[in-house]
Amino acid sequence: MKRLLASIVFVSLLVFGLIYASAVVRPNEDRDGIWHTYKILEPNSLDVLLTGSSKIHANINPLVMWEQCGFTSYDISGSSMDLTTMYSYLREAFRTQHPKVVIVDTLLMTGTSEQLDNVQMRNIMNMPLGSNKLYASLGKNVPATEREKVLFPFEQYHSRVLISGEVTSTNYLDKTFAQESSNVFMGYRYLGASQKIVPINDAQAYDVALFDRHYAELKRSLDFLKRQHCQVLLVNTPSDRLNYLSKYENELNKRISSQYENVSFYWPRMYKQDFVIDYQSEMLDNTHLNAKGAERFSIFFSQYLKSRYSVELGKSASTPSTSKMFQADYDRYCRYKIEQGQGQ
Amino acid sequence: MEFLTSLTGMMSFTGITYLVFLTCAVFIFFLLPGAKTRCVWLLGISSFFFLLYSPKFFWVIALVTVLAYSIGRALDVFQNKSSGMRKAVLALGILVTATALIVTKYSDFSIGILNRVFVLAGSSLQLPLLKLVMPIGISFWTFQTIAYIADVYLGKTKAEKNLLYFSASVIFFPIMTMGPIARVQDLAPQLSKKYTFDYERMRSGLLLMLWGYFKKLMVADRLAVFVGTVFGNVHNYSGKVNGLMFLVAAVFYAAQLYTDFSGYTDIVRGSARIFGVDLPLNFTAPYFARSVAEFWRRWHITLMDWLKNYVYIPLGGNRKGKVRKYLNILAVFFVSGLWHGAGFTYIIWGLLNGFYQLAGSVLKPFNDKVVKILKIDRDSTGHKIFQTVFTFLLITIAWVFFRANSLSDALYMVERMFMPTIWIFTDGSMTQQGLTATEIMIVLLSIGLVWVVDYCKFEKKADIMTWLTTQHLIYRWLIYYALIFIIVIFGHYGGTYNAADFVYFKF
Repeated sequence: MKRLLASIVFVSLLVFGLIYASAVVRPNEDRDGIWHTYKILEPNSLDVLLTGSSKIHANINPLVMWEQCGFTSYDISGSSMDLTTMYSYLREAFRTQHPKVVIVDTLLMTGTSEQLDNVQMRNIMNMPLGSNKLYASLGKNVPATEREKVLFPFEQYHSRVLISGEVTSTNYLDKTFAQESSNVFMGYRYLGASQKIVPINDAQAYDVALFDRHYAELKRSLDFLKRQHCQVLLVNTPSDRLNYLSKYENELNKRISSQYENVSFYWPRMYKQDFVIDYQSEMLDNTHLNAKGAERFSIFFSQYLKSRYSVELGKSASTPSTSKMFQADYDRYCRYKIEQGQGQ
Repeated sequence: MEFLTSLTGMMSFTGITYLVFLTCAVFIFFLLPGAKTRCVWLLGISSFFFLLYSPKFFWVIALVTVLAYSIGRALDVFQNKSSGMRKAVLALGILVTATALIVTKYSDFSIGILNRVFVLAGSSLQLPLLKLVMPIGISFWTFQTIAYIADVYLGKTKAEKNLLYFSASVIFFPIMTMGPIARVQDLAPQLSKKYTFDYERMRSGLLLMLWGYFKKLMVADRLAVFVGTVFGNVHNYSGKVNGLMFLVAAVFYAAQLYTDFSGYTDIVRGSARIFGVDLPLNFTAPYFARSVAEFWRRWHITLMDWLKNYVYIPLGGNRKGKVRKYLNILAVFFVSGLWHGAGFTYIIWGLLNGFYQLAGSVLKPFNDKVVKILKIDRDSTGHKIFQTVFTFLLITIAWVFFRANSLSDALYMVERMFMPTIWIFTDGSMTQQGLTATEIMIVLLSIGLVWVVDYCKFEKKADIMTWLTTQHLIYRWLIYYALIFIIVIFGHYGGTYNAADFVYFKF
């Protein structure tokens, strides 16, 4: 009996220690923490859910939308997230939240290759352990030999990580904005970065087999969202300058939205008319907006959402604790911008 | 079948999946009543374990098991028959159990040799390679079953009458993939006896596993990055990989191979101990050996025992004169090389080790004379260290052939590995082989710890693990926790990590 008790105490202390270690030594890649913050949101406190590729988290700042229009939004997008992973992400997200509007970035529909397998694995790796993660890891994005690593991402504890290569001490010690316990904005941390871009249109034909697979996956996601009675907006964000000019993607969004009552699409011509990017100062790199561009686009986009979904967005009144959280994170974002030399 | 194929590769001895699998297996094992039910359970989970690795080849191990069992029984039945009859049954038994190994492992090697002969003969005929996949652990369970048949034939053991215990001994999941090559007659009695839960054995099993994880994840997997970089860029003419770097990589490979295989052995011996099964030792700190012959008595002991009992002794051992003895030694190491892999690098590696031993025997009188003239005290620490280092160097040179991608790569490395390019230690070359300075430091400290533990256990007969269990609970737990957290936090998992890649898996 004494030994049994000792064993239980030993294992309990070990589990406690591992949990503590996971918080201390987690690499400081902010997108790794999206589910951590998501799970601490008050249940059913979201108006808008954003999902898709990095175009979402680089170009749309939920805190700016909160500050502008007073609705809550959260971004569960992942780097180059493909549609298979997105389906599992949506299912996981709807376990605790029932947002009225879901923004879906369909960029990867017109992808040309599946060279970003490691990135997909990283997206799945970040999910909380559960049936949705299991489902995602049993899919084609994860080879059998990698499944265990994806399901139990011990890499987070270790001196080397799968995607980013080597993690240095700065990844552990640099407790910047991203490493806080709650962080509604998890975009790029280098807020001051800017790259001058000359816009070109070199859209290319996509991989047909991949497209068919993604098309089926998107329809599965949309069927799921239909069952959840929420509005869906298919978007291409403005920094996606190669693709927003692409007839493939626009026609696709148009065709899909005609099949669902609850699905509409954001006609990218608007970018030419209403929201025009300054390619000299608002781009982070070839395909993402920087913080300045993201802030301006978030203001524009939040007003568009507010006007389009005023009924739905008005219904989800945020509780005081949620408001407090969003406001605190917005204030922190402003302070961080000042630290980075980007504040007013 | 499709479902099982999709799961192939999921189970790895160093993964969480294995720990979860083991926990469930142990929990249910102790809930079951009676030895037979438990043995059925072990056979079931072992079969499942095999299916996770080689779902398409389960029939092969099942067939080999049933055939070996039947041959053993037949040899028992025919024990009063003519020796010709028994020999025929023995030959048949060995042939049928070894067929799968020979076909899957050596067919392409043989075809490759034939194709070369055709080219040399000026023929344009080229036979296509079969590219057959080997069932997991085939080299190990084939040797185990051959040993069993031979032992029954030689009357060293009685044939196992119970197919359940026999099958569980062959397909026992801890040993099925990479050994140790345990004897059926040692395993079957342990599996047929009802094992009562023993806290001390459980604890020592878990500790042994923990130590295995330390060796594998702190040393072997980290060194694999460095070793892979150097061995994979042998002809890099930038000067970054050359000269002494080859020696460093070879020394690191020696450490990697030992920690990888002995780490695995610790994990499986620990796992088996939890089920009340004692598996034989496979390593007794081989790098402390003072001669190559001693090294081979301390390295992969179960394989060397097998080769001694079923190759060396049947060939005459040392009973038929010196020349025959030397030829027998060469034969043993030739078979050892061939067993490890169907390739010329393995054969050269094996023969080189055989040659070392021959040279040791032939030069012994000369060596004795030198020692006498120089008045060297054979028991002095300096002499012992010299012998140990010299043996290690000889073994390390042989490992280059074992690891190199080709014979030409190996020769290229050996030619250059003693060039005095000492600047590699100061010009940053060391940190350009995939490991940072911190990681090299971590690996060196870890090797140091392994060295100390091995030295205490096998040289001073003071087992640190046993000592640990006698300490006060607080100290004990602190050390356990420290070891676990060091492995979890500093173990090598990223980059090129693949827990399934134990070096000996491919053999």
